[in-house]
Amino acid sequence: MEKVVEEVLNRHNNNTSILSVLKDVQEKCRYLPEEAISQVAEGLGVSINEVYEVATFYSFLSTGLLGENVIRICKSTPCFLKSCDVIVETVEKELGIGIGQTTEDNKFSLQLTNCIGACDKAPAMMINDKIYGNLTSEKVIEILKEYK
Amino acid sequence: MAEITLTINDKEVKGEDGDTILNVCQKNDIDVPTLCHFDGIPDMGSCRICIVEIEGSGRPRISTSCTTPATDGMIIQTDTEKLRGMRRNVLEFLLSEGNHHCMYCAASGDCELQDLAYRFGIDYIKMPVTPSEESTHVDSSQRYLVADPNRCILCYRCVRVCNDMAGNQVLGISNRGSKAQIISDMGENRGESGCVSCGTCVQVCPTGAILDRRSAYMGRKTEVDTTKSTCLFCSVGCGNEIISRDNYLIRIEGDWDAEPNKGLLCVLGRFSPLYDECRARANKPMIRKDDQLQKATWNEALNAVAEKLKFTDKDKIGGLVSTHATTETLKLFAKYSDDMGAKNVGCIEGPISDPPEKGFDLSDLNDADLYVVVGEDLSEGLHQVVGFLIKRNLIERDKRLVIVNDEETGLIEFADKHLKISELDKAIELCKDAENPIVVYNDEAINQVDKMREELADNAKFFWMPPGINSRGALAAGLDGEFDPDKASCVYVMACEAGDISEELLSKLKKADFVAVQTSYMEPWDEVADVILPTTIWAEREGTVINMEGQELKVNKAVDPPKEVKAEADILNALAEKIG
Amino acid sequence: MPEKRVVLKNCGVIDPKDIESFISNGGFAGLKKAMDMTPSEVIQEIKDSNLRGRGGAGFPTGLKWDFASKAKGDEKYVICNADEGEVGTFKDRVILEEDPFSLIEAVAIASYAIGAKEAFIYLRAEYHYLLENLQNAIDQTKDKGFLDHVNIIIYEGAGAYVCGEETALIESIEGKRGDSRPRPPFPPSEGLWGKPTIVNNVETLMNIPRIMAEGKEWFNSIGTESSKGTKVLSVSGDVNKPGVYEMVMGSSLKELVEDLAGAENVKMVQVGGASGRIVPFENIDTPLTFETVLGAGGVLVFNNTRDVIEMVKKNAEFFEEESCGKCFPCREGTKRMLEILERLTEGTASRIDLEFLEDLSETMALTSLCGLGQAAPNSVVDTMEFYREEYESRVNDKVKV
Repeated sequence: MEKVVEEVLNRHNNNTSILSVLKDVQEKCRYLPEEAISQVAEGLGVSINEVYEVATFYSFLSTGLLGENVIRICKSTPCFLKSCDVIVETVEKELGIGIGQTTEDNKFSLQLTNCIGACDKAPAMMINDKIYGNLTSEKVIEILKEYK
Repeated sequence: MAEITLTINDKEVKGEDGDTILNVCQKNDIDVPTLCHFDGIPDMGSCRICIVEIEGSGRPRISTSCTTPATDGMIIQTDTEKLRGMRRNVLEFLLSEGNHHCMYCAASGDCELQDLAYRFGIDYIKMPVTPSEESTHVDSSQRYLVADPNRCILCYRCVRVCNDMAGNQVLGISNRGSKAQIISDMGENRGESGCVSCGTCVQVCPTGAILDRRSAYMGRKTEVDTTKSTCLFCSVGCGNEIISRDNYLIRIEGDWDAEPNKGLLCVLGRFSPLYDECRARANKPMIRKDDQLQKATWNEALNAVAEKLKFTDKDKIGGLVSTHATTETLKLFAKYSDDMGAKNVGCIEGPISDPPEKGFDLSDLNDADLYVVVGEDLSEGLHQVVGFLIKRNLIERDKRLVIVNDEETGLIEFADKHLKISELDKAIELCKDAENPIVVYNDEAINQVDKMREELADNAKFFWMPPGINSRGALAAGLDGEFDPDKASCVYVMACEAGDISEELLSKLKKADFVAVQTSYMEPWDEVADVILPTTIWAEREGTVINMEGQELKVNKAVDPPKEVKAEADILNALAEKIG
Repeated sequence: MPEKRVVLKNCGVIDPKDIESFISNGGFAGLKKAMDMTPSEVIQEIKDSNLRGRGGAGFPTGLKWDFASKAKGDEKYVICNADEGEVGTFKDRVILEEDPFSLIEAVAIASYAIGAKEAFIYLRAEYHYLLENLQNAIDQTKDKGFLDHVNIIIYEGAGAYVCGEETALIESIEGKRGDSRPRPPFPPSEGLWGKPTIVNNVETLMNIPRIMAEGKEWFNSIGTESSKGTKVLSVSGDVNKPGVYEMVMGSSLKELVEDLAGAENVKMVQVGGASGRIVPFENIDTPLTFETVLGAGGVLVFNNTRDVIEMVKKNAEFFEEESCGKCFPCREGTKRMLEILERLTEGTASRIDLEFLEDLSETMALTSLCGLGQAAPNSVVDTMEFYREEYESRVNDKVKV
């Protein structure tokens, strides 16, 4: 972990953006553990509270451990109108976890998210960076198979 | 600064270019209510209580007066029915949430939220009172203060002072929206965080969310007495306000109007005197009889001392003073020593170097781009406030801090470079490259700094951190020499509060024939003294001190001393009279 | 037909991965023209075109550029706001997917006009999958020598709706929390790192190369008196054909929703996403202009099986989660608003709750620090006007006040 963070910090040599560094650290470590936050603070020459403030502001950053694959199901109005609750139920049943939880094997984390800009394909969800639209229960089950 | 003219509440008023609307209102005695605003820290316009209506084309624009620059010709209303309604609503939002049950709050009577509620006539809340379901645990892990997030209105004042004013960078905000919370470091309990207990947050909290643990429920603003004075625990000479009630000390606060510290204090000045000072007070004169200190009358005690001083060879008389004393008292001590011909006189901290710079201005720290700290720690012990003044400047990225010290000091985590004393040349080079370097040093680093002074001449400013409190006062009194205990058989100590005395000195004093100590506390003198002359503590003292900058500062008496305790000068004068 | 392709001219037409395809379809004509003019001539051209910002506020674009151009300092920045977070809005996504080159061309023109040597495209985290496409467009444009005057950097967000607000966006590019800043100072005088900065929405910028290529007269000939050009609208909800439609300004909502998107049994339409205004069916002829309804152009259609209060509650939920929490009326108001709407749907709301809802909506709209809090109560205010009876019917008179 320490090495990974160091590598990110080196890459951001001239950059002092806490957010950019945290995003890269999260990409590598899957979340932002306390040690990583301290290390980023030291590397950027800023205080720990400043880094932590940023780490907890953005919904795509997480200070808690996330699974290998993060599923974010859109719950905003357009998807809500297209019964996104059915999608949520399907995923919950398939993975055996609730919203905000991570599977025991650390493979999946399930979250709800606000509008992801795929309203023309509602209901929609993201798995990691990929967007899946026009979802049905059957389709969701198929998609999840790819990641299992 | 160009003068501007505005129309506020149909009256023409003047302001200056660069003023905010709130500045102009305050200058013209127009009372605009505020909540998150605090003089001296950057405004963020979050509470929206100070909103005003600015006339323009179309409907008047509602804007926060604390963040909106005043411009020439502006037409402003500060107290319309609409504004009052909006303010009332925002206050209701706050009051209906969290724990704002004034009856049970120590801040009741000293609470800005409560004041505003009265001012806007909020005698009932139409919103259902729904404290957050997840009430947050009260953090009492810190020795001196209690933080209750349930009473917090998230005005960020504490966060802003912790970061921007005291430079300690511990408090912050976690999460966002209605889940936002004040945190220390990464959400640790305060007591386990990097908090250095400067206590500035306690002083700025508008509600009862951060309380001074000791003084809670001990009296409201209207019930207590406030005495402006000067902190007597190091040479920064911070202005403080001593809060007392019925001659009982309650709390110490920073004085926002005082020059060197502008409201800041450190743990030594704010909390320690009332929380950590647990030595028994010397409150009766005492004389050692049968190897036991026993109560005596003032007359007996003074006679015993006068007798000894009168009949001891002047070369055998030693004088030891603490720089807790005022300049007046130090001068008096010096005068009487001279009169008696006693030469073996010095300060408890040892001899004081007399630096070529006769003074400096701490506010120059704000204009520096490089700080070189040689020998000093600044993160604990004395002069912490100087550390704060440096740290808060380091938030600006182009300002750097270099530590020259063979030891690890607490300031290193804020520093850009940590050099060994042997690497002094590197520090000198850095100073040469800097626009406006300031070297902060203490007597341990005199030799290094002499070298720097030689090489840098006028290109750097040198800030001397005196070893004692009123060291410059001692210099002014001519008390810069060294006291040699080996040469003294009769020693007179003016100790005041001084307690941190080396074992070596104490054991040498023990061997002396006679030791008289004029002290506020029994420890550690009860081991060595033959006579104890009880004297005042900081809050009972009156006079002046000269701080590190060379400024003469006023020390004012906040409470009366216990019945049998006398002021330092009174004791010296009484003694002089007896000696004749 | 009210449909007209100005912004979306290349979408679905060119190969978004190949600059040659873009060039052969008239690409860079606007930039070339602009580079032959002086920066102030370019700004004048945009001013005269009467182009107004497409992000929601409708501020005259040329004026914004003019402020930044006249602001003191050598260091200036152009920021393209691609943080399309408004609920039901996905037009920028389509543009970034299908015509990234035009956007780069636009950023290049804007940078030339105000004298910025560095420009940022703030891409929302949810659109990370478009990064490659966009970076490819930047690289190819650079290789062609069109970006010698400016360095364009893609900066990714991390999931925060409020960062679509320009001052919060600037904070975010500085690497901090996306807390909105009080204005003034406005970004054109003090923006990114305190330097003069213009923040323009993707769609606003997309108009720039067209205006430069075709001329201000051409642009002025499209639309209404005070709303020139076209608007790209994202339609979703209860429609048969959800998607992106570009309409001439002033076209009616009916044409969009019923004729193009095939909506039936419409109960109400929300124009401008979660922060948008509500148009009841009886007003469906409302023209789409800055003066009527528009916002960022997210059009949410609700048919008559939908429960108004349920829909408004979804909005409230959104704002409660997305408020930055810095200013009191928004932090507390979004939370309170949601609580009342929850009580209304649960049947535990008292009559005074309605009064309270009106009060807090007004307070939020008038006193919030930024657009998020100011616009958050829009759907409450509008539905309380148009569907008062639905609110009244949910009040439980048994609940003690």
